[in-house]
Amino acid sequence: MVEHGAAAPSQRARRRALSLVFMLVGVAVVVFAIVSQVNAPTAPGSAAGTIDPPQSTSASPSTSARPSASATGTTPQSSPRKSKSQKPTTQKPRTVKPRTEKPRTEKPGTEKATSRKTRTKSRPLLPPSKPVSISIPAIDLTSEVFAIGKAADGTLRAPEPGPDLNKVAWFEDSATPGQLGPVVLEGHVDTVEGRSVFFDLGRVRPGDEVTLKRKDGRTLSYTVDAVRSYPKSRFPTEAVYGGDISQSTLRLITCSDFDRRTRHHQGNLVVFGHLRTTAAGS
Amino acid sequence: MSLTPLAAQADDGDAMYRATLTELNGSGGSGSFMLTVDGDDATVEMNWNGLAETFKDGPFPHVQHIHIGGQGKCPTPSADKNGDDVISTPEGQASYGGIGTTLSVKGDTSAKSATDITIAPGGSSLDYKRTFKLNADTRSALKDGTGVVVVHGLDPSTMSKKAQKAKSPLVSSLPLAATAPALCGPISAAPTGGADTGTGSTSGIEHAGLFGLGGLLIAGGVLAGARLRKTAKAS
Repeated sequence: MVEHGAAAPSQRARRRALSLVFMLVGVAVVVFAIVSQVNAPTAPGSAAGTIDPPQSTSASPSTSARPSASATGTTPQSSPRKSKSQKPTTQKPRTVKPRTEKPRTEKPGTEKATSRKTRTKSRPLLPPSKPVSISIPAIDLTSEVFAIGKAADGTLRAPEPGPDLNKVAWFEDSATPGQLGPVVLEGHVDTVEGRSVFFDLGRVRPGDEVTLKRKDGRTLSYTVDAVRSYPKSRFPTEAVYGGDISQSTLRLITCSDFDRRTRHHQGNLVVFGHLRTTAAGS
Repeated sequence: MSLTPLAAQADDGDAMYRATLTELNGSGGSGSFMLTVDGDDATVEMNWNGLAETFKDGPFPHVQHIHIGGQGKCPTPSADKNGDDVISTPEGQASYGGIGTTLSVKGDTSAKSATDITIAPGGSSLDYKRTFKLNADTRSALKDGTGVVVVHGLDPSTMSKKAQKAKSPLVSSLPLAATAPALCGPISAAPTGGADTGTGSTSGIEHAGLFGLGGLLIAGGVLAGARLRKTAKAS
């Protein structure tokens, strides 16, 4: 005490205060870091649902005999957001199902055979008009949509840093909403800035509604048929960019399956849907 | 499917192509086209509707082709050089080129059968799937991005009086309406692989640096505190 005396009481108090401040600030920083953690994006709940199921209504002779009537019916102007109560009762509720469930009719052959037999004529749809916005009420998503093309190496470009980074992109060589064939849209699950527009895409379930607004002002409503995750090395190009081209279908693509070792997403999540028919949409 | 395993190893692998068909000459039709390459074979799936239904009390024949060697584009109204308000097939050729493959319902698929209406699909709509050997010219045009799908055959009642009376510039026994293009769609290869739509920033631990800084600060505080206690004890 005596030896250290000269410096002692006041200096010790200062040191003690300093060490306390250090600890407090340290704890504060750690708490902040914990609080600002973002949950990893949701993986699709199950392999439930069928990709491009044949549309039962198109098999009905009355529908295909009056193409113009059904064409106008594909553009319901009445609030599409009422959809939640209108989910087809045949669709399973949005519960997570065990992965052991076998995906139904994944083989294109069997699906095609059915759809081709029941379908007499595909219905005339709409003249081309690019999508300008998308809304998925089930995950509270709304976004502007911009057009994107292929890179020089033939891959699909992804939204780049800038004002469009966190918007949904429409692949410009795909169909526009309401044309025959797939409307292909993609969005980031996350970017260097954190979560992005399709962060919650894995929470979408069969039966959910996706609405697309076209440049000509029409709003079209699509029904989700299936949500799937694929390794990028086995990306199902034919199912995504093709599939059943006798109807207007929807594909929403984002990344999935992040690998911490490679620091890259190993997979793609794809939401498959089709244009809601008159019967289901009204 | 492929009987030629060696050819299946060809450089382009198994490519897939797509086209969205939109109306030409006010035909009112629309459609979709898909072509998958499997070795030497190509499988074409095609759906369209809204085209002319009948012709002389029979189903209206709609000859359809993959055109190649042009700009890989569909013609605009300015392609109508003779001012009859119809873009005839020759008038469209600067945009979409000549015929590479005939998309017939049976038999020959070469350019030779381009105007053979006996093997062309008929009626106002089509649900088509056919696998055939893809010729080299068409194959390379698809790779170059210069392939264009064209479906021909217009409802004469939608044409100008002058055009209604005109003969086909291709087959003199047919009216212009029979061979003028009604649907057109540039063919493009589907993107290869998946989509690069994530950085992983929300996977694992964010702000690893902050954790480090916080940890250092706490450790520093604890150390300083321990030293204080030590000196206190020593005294």
